[in-house]
Amino acid sequence: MREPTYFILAALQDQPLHGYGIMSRAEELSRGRVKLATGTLYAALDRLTGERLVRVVDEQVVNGRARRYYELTATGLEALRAEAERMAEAAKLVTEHPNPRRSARRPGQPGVMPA
Amino acid sequence: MSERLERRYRRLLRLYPKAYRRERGAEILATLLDAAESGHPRPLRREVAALVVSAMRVRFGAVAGSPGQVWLSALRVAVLVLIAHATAQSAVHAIRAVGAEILMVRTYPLTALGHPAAALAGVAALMAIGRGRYRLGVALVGLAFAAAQWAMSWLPIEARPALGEFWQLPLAAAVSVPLVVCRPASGRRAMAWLLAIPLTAAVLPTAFDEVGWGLYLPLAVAAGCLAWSALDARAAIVGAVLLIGASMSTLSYVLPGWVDAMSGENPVLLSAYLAAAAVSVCVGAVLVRLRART
Repeated sequence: MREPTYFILAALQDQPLHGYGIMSRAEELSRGRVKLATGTLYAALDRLTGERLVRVVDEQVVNGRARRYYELTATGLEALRAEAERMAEAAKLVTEHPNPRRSARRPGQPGVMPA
Repeated sequence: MSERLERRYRRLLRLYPKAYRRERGAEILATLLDAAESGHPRPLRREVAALVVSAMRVRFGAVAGSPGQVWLSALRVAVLVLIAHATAQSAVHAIRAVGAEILMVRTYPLTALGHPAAALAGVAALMAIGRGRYRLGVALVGLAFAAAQWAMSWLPIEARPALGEFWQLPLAAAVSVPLVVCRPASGRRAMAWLLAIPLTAAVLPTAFDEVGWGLYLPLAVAAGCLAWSALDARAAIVGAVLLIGASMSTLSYVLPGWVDAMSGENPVLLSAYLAAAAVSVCVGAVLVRLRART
């Protein structure tokens, strides 16, 4: 799954959001890494709607502007969780790895070799 | 400022097809304006570039789906382009023969009737494949090829593979095999494929420029296809198939008995065709895979 897709789906976990809501929530969740342009967002929403990962739940006109709200489907949530677990597994390989080099460099301590 | 920006965005939204604009236009405009008025507006240039690329992808029917589906769709377009090019070439021969007869410049044998027959069969094949009737399409491609060969019967059979116009139909039939087996969905506007006939006549070599600079046209068209693949990954694959077709006639020059007829630049040209085809296939394969990711 591409990073923008991951954060679009993650943005919709709590509640349905409209286009700009998704853009700003994705930016916030990714700590500013994913800054979607509007054209890119709608291309992604078209694709995700086609794959039934998100769906339109509401349409409103607010201050003369048309807004359509999107929510995560059960399939979308499943795909998001599967991707999160995959990344967590991959992260564990590094975060839970005993780093022999770091301990070997500590002054006054003998290096510890992994078992 | 806001009104000016809104007008500008409205103009840009016209790049999307009408039906899409009716469905999504107001919503996209609202999001663009929301983003512009927010505390962290996107750079205008980035918004404009993303809108243009996205609109072109919607307008020119970039296919979404699994890599297999996109490959099948690309092969379908390649077959249609090959048939259109072969039909354009038969039509050029037919027009030339009819013109010469009318002006009494030259008398053609009866076999010249093969040219209009091949052109008609080509048109029918184009419509059949455009409508998703692949078996019928391949049969009509066979018919068009037989008619074209009858028209060329004045030339010894072993000499014909070296002609630029020999390979399009056999290659179209070969590339159609996966279409006959998997039957990919056809587009809604099959008739629009008829426009590909004058288009290929304009941008690819025909009988008029067989040995001139026309031999470089497939390279130019493939380069255009490669650029277009930024919008639609299928274009690179179509360009590769066209180059393979062009390589085959050039390759036939290299066959025994044709070395004498080979002009000095052909080995270079052949290498250029094959290298460009390899690059196009690789680019197409990578792009198809990348786009297939969610």
